[in-house]
Amino acid sequence: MKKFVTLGLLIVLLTGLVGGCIGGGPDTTIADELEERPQLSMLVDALTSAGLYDVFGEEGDYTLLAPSNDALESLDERYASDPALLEQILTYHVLEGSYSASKISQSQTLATLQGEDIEVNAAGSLSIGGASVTEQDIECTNGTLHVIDAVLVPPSIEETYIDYTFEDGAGREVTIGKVPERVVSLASSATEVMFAIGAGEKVVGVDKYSTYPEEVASLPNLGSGSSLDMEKLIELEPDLVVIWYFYGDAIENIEQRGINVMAINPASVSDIYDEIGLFGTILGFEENAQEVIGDMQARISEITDYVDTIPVEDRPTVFYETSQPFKSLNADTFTGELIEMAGGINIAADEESRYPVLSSEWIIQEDPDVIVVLSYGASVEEIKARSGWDQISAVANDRVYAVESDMVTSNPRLVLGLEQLAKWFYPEYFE
Amino acid sequence: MKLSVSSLNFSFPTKKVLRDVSFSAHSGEVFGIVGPNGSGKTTLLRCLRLVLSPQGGAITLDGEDVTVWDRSRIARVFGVVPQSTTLTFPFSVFDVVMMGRIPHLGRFQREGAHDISIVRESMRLTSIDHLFERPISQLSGGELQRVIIARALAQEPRVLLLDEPTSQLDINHQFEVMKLVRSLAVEHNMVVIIISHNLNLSLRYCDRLLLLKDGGVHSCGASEEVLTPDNIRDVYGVEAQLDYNKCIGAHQLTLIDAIEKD
Amino acid sequence: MQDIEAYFHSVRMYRLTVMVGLILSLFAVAVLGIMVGPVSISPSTILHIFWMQIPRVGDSVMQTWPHSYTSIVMDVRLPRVLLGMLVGMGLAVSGCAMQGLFRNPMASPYVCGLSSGGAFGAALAVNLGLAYIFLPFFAFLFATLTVFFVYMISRVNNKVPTETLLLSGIALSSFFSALVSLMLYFADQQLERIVFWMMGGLWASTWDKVAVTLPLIVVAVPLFYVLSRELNAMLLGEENATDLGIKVESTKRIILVLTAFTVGACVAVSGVIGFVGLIIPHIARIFVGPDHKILIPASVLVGGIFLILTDTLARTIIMPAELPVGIITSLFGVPFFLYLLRKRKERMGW
Repeated sequence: MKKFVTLGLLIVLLTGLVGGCIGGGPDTTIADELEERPQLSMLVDALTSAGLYDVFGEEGDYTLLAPSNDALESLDERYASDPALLEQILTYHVLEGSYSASKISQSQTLATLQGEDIEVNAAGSLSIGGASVTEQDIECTNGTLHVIDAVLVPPSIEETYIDYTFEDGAGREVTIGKVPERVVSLASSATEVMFAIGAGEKVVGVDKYSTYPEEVASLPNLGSGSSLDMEKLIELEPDLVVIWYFYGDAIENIEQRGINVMAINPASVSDIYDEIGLFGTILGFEENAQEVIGDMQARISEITDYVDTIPVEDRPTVFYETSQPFKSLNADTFTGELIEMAGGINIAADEESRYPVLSSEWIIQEDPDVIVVLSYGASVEEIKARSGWDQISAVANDRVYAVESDMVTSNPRLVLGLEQLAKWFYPEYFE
Repeated sequence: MKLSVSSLNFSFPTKKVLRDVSFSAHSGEVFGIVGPNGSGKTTLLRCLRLVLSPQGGAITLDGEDVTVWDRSRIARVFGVVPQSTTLTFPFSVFDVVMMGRIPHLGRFQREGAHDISIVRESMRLTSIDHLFERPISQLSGGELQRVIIARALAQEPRVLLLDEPTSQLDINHQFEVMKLVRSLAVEHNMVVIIISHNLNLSLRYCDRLLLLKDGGVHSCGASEEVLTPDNIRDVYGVEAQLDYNKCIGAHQLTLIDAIEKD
Repeated sequence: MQDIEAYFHSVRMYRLTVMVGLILSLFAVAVLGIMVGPVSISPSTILHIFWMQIPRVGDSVMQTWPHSYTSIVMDVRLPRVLLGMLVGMGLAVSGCAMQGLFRNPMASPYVCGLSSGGAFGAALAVNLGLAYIFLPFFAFLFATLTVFFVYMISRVNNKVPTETLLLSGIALSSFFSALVSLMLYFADQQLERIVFWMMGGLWASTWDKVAVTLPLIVVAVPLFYVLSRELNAMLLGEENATDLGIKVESTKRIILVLTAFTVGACVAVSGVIGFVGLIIPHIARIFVGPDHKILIPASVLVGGIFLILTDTLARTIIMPAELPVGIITSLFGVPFFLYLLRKRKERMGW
């Protein structure tokens, strides 16, 4: 028995010796080297828990950029706590093939096992992805090991975490941690904004009022804030729900299920800019958002620049009718603002109620030059046929128009609505 | 004048109520209908004035077939005092009695002096003339019953049908109403048919009685010959004794006890 | 204590006085309604505008006011006042008849499902995308059909017990309301105006509407009046009425048909104006008693006065904006009614 043990030991020893002699180089694996350095103990633990450690004890050809304990300790908690993310981060530190420091210095970028590249800066002292190398060129049987002083985070993961906190339309504090990938929009304005900035692919469900752009027709419909299909909402597993500010019950209800929800309340054109900007920020489409805003501003100022040249007394008076007969809106409303921007004098601008029902005879006396009616309200014929309205200039001059409701509410298409209104108000100029 | 009923039959969809009822009532007499609950008294009275249409049998007044008359003509001949009257809105006594004139007025005819005098007479007969301005909602039960009788009288009926007019009244009002009914029959020569629950009042004020049992005629004739102890036992299942009461000059029943059933 | 004959004549005199008073009030209120509005037009201008309408004579009038004033008076105020009067009359007289027919002070002209039937018709017209002129037509059609349907399902052996009628009216009413809600749920935007329409109002008054409503009211009111004896008798119970020679079933049928047409027309031209048909008969009853012979004409006039007055308030209280007339009818009508009710109770113990 004893004999066999001794023989076995001898064989092992011999094999080791022979192997070492034949290579003429290092005789330790990357794993062995890691094991040897106490300042890399955390990396060992991390690799072990990610199931990657064994790889470095076997044959192969890798380069490991090993962040020290100090570096790992300062790693953001939200990355460290997510195993999937951690695995991505760790594989981002591994290169295929053996790279010595001098070889690294000659490259611009390094391809990692994770898939994304690391930028190298060799001007001055060597910096790999922003980290300095504290111990380099540890040659091993299965590759090379460099110790670095910072954890490298793949750009895609870095972008995913924005940790953005803001006050939403309902006055609630909302924090967006990870950039939302699955958004349910229960507000048509938000739906349109997201599609306008190119983030439409992230929208996984909409409310029944979201009808633009066409693509939304194929998305799951969840009813509305007042009649929400909660089961479907949960099934869609959204990481963000956008909703109108006035659906307080629904907001609370969604919140209670642990789903992040933000309310919007765009009440003016500048609010729309803010809304577009906000979605750009939280969805990672900042550039597109700025582009959309810029485009809107350019088109709007084309109109307002002209309108500014028209003296107030020369601007046409306008009666705007909502979905209900004789019901108008004052200057404090979104559409009211658009009418003013388009150069119309809203006859109901100074009314106390935001949506006043006006007396027929008063409208006749005010004698508006243009009448605009919401397309699903009264028909143009109906308005022209109203008792005594043949006296009104707008009717006499055939300047009664129906406008699509989506064009004059708080969404990016308001520009189209504004241009439409301007054409009706100043046909000779905007044509 | 004579109201004759022969072989009258009536059934509701699920129940036969009247079988082969025949009798005749004469003017100048008070003809009473008695019988236990559910024996068909009220249904008989409804058939008589054709509120319900009898299924077979004849009703004639002095030989004339009543069943072919229209509602208005029936209302000019039959005055009715129902068991109860709904009072949702407060008409005045005068208004209610004046309603008795409806069958006599043409559609576009206004109430005239003639109608007023009939209304006045009806109210005098029922001693309610002092109440004419009062809303009926403020009347006592006895007063209200007299108002309804006055309304029936304003119809100038030749036949007066009363369905338990005394059931809701105090005893003093019961006597008043029965006396009034009797005087109407005797002095105004009407055919008066009255349903009564009170057997002793019937013995005293009705000339003749019809005793109903299970929708059929059990017996018919002079009051004291109908309400015999035998008949009472047979129809009501009650032991009774019939005596002549000299004090009031009429027969009266003394009800002794319910008969034990085996 | 006065004599019956003297009483009879004093009642007649009282009724005559009330009627003359009401007619004068109606006229006064109508004049007021034409005089006031967010656009202030002087009474003399208004007189001149009317004067101008008379053929030949009017040609001599010199027009010293903006042309729009003529339109405002002739095409806006006048049809509105007239339509208010007609609708008020129609609702009040129908309410009066329904309360009599059902012997129920809680009955309103809409008791047989007229309002929800009408709303359903209107919603259907909008939902089908029909032109606006079809809306009143559909409202009228479905309002009347509902009453007909309620009558048919309540009929047993050629008789229609009022309790059954009332219950099937309520049932069918709920059913149609549910249908309207269903349509609103699925096609909300387009049907927003239906919600508005259901509140009732006279803002869209036109001469056409006056022309349609006028003949119906002119025919229906006298017919209701002719039936006042029947209604009186039926108040004491249907069997009582039968004993007084009234053909109860055919009376019911006629009253239902008249109500269906009258209220159907009112609903079609002005939506569902609440309160008027329920309370006006009671207000009239407090003044003239329950006798339909006076109650019907009095209700007609009080109804006309009331709706003109409340509508005038509705369109002037927050000039140039308007309030829905239903808010005013209840806001001003209810305290007034409660006051009368209390006074009456103190006086008559009723």
